[in-house]
Amino acid sequence: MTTSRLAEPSAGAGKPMHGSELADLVKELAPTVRRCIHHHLGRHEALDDAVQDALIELARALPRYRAESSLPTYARRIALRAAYRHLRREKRRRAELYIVPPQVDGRDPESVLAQRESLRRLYRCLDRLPEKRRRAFVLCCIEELPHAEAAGVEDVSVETLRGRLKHARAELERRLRHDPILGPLFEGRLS
Amino acid sequence: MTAGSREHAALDRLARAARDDAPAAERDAELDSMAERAVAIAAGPRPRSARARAAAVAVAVLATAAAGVAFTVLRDGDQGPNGVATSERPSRIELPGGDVLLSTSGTELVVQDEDGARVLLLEEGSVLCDVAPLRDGRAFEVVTPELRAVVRGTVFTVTAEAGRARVQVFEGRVEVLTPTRRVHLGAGDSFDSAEGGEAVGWDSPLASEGRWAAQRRAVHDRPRPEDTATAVAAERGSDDALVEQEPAPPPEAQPRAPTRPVEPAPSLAEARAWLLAGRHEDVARAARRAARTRTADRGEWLLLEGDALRALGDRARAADAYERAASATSPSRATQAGYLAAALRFEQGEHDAALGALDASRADRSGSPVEERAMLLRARVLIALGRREEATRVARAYLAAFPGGGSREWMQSLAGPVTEREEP
Repeated sequence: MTTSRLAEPSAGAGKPMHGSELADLVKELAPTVRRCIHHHLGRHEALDDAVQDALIELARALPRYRAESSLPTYARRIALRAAYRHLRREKRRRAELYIVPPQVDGRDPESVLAQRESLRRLYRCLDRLPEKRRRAFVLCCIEELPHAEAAGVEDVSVETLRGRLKHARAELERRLRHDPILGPLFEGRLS
Repeated sequence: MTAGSREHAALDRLARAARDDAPAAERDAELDSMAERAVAIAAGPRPRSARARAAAVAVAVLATAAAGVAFTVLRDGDQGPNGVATSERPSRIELPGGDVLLSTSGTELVVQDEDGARVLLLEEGSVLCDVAPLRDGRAFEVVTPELRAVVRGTVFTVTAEAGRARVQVFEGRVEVLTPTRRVHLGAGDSFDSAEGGEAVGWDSPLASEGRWAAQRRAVHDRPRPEDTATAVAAERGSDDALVEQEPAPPPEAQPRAPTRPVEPAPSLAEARAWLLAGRHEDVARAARRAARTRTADRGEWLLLEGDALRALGDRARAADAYERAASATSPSRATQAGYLAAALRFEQGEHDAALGALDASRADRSGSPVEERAMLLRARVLIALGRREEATRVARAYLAAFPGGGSREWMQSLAGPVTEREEP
């Protein structure tokens, strides 16, 4: 039942859902939710809280699922809502000091830290984008969703989404060009 | 390649790196347990919104005001035989008058308003009270079977459990009354009814929320001068620094002062709020001064000084501050301070000093809050010192202690092949 729901969006939609079935479905969708939130927030201290909140919302919402969109899209919408709620809340706290966790994954720690720093700077620039443009950029460029699917997640037309994406890219490139670390990459001085 | 396409390609590379940085979309045990928790929580009653809860509180207060006493049931939960409310979930409620309460799950609590006095009867659990400044004649008390905490506009927690009650104060002052004692607590103080004195080494389950509430108050109660806010915003190149600032008065209404106003020494909570607001130099200066004059919380001030100096990029002095903090604060904080000192020393290329700081703080001992990171740091320091054999031993200890650790592969490459005899 769970697999069929994921494979075929309309399968079982609107039918009552048993507790174990709901649990299985939430577990199936949980990796998508976590990955989506991670893409939108980056390595953010509120990541786990946002994932937990999104899963709770998903568990509450799934019994009302009407198959008007695919289940992953449905879950992604819920995940985005939770992620940006946390982001808005956390923005009020401003910059905080933290220790970079040493997940080196077989590479040397210095290069891992350098990459983390690059991504931290990318997300700092994303923090300064208007939320709609940020969402469009992450959905299309980081999550690599097709424009039509990203437009479906955002519930806007494809043209609107493309407009937001174009503005987001232009603004990001402008900001990153002036970044002391990433600027040379954008000027072609680094490979 | 044109400049435009080069920038496009660079941005796409960054986006790809961000995509690869996220965990693979695979199931793991932690995610499964989060999903199970979500389903269990979703199966319970849906929490009412803050507005709905406030409305319920207002109705309850009005309905019972005629009797001269108001009992406010905090939230939907089981109604016990004595009118005590219980909840399975952590809850937050804003009471009429501006007081805000946060409670842990399983807390049993009644709010009683009588003749301008608000009394919280706490049977069990932990509650954080962010009490609005009280007008003359008003009072706010938390009563447990063991003690009574009387306050006048402050942030504090009370935790009651099996014959024992503990109070922790984050801002303002609280008077604690037990059958035999009367104790005045200030910010940073705590009290344990079982010990009859300070709750040494204990932190309330709501301590982080309490510190945050105190910091928020410090920011709101004492807004920065307009010129300082502008300077911080310019320095960080961000509009965010001006969030929550009051609109600046027109120049003719309030001419800018030629010199910076002299501010009194901040409390710890205020200094932490400054740090979050980016006032690093102010924090470093205030913390340095406080660490010389205040013996009771010297370690906390030294940690703050280290944080501020680190934020200012002065790593050498930050490491000094952390090392001094390590010898003046609680054991768990000392461990973290020692680790930070060692990490900064290592970044400075002072490998012997880094190793010394790790040894002194025992940051990589079993059970340390930074054990895994400290083991990785020790291995890196030993490699930098050319002591590869010792680094290999650290790597093997790491793999035994953290078989699924984030640095597993790097440690495995350092540890080399494991013989049958060496396997745990």
